[in-house]
Amino acid sequence: MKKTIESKKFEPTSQTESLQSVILTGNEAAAEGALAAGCDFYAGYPITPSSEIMETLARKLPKRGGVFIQMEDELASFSAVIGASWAGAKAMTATSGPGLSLMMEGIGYAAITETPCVVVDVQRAGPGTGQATRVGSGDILQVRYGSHGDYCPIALSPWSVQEMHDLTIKAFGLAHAYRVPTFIMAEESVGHLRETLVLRREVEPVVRNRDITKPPFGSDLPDGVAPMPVFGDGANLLVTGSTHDEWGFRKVNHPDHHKRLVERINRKVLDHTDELAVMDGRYLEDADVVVLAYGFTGRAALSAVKALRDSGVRVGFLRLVTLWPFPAKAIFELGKNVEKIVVPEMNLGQVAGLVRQNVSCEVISLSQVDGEVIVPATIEKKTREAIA
Amino acid sequence: MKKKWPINVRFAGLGGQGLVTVGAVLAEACAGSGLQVAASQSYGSQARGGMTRADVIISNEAIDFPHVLAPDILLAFAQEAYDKFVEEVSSGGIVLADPYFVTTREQPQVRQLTIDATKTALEKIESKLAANFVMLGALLGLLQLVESKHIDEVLPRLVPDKYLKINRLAFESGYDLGTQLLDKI
Repeated sequence: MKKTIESKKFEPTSQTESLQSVILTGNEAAAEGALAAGCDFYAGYPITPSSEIMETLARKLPKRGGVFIQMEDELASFSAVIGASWAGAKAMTATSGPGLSLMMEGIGYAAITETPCVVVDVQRAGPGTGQATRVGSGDILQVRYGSHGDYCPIALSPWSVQEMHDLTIKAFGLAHAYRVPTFIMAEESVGHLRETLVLRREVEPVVRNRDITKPPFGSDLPDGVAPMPVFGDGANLLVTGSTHDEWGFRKVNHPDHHKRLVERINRKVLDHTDELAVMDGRYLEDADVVVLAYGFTGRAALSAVKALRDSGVRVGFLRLVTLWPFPAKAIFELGKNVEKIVVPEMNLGQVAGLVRQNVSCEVISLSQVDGEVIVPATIEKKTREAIA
Repeated sequence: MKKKWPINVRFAGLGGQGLVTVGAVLAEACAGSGLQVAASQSYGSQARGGMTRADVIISNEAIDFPHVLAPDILLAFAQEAYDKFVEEVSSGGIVLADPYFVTTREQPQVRQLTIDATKTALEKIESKLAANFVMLGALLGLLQLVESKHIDEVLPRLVPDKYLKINRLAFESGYDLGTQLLDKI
């Protein structure tokens, strides 16, 4: 097939990068990434398997002059993060599925108030309390659609300890550039994985446009991002979860205001899907069948694809780093050039369904929800069956 | 055992035996000596009891899939863990079992050695809790993978201050046990 997928990687931008190679868990690496990005506020409630992020920041943030608060629950945690962001902080929290469920009210509030914040969701086997120490990947659709109304968060999916670090850094930049809640959709198997990584010490600081002369909730562009002053900058700031005009005044009966606001907060992300879509494609040039994976399962998928290639099978590999906004156009192009797409994932086919919506070729869902990771042999077997 | 990369190590026992800690020490010490490592674990939600395993892959090249699929070395700290994993050990692999908790049975495809980890910990430190470090010491005495300075570098980060000394002592005792077994592999 023609190569239609351009692989690109997030490279944390830096002017005078100083590198340090260490060994950490994924959760510790995410915390270090937050610190490198300039995170100065964390509010959270501990939950397995994400707690090491909170523990690391509890130790390190106060020493740097940052604020660390353990809140009474996840609703309060996320509300504190929103408040801190409006006070000028680079704010974050971390949680797992049950906590993410509780944060949904706040996530909708952050979406309509266009509040930048970062959430690391270290996914475990759900629904409900499920299996707290076991792995799952069941929050992919929840993070997109969990709060009511229309909005689109940004969500990234790390497959290694290095990416826990790098994508957390990147998330702070994206959250502020697009003024949108930005999620790291980690899994227990990456959060608790211990690997060597390069720590990025001097990352280009996240800059917020704090222009007080322009409206903080409007733009001349239908997909524009308004400047976001901080309380104390001198702007007459009015922040409300009700529908508002470009200056923040409540407009709860006006069709035009609601339409303009809702369309813009979606288009500011969705119209930029191409530039946000990061993918890692390999062996795609001559592939009839492609294994499409994300997160930790990408590690198993690549191992399986390499083994299949070694035995002469023309199989390709595509890993989605950006899950939201979903790279529908790229997936559509992929589907034109291959016969089958195999989608292994630790849920009952959440991303397989999305792929199916965008292609006319056959999509084979390889689901596993037993609280264990998918191993390479399972993907290899399913892919061989698909080819036979 | 023929030394070939990667080496897949599994510590298996019950929650509370400190397996995740020694897995992390092994991984970080190997990383400190320039090897590639990936460490993972599986445990229950209770603080003590319940099957626990800590896996470490050690290699001289980048590791694609970072979980152990078939251990080359199984360190068994409990009968249930031995029973569950002994048949997964790769052909030609090694089992190190603590006879205080584990009775081994015939396994023609692997070499089984007993390490008196708990007994040694009781004699030298008067605490069963350091058996994990005796076992780690025995493993490294046997494998000769890293120098002890690499252990010293990582212990303070992974072990609370008040247990540093006894765990170091337990490690040394285990290391001696391991070197005595060098001719057995």
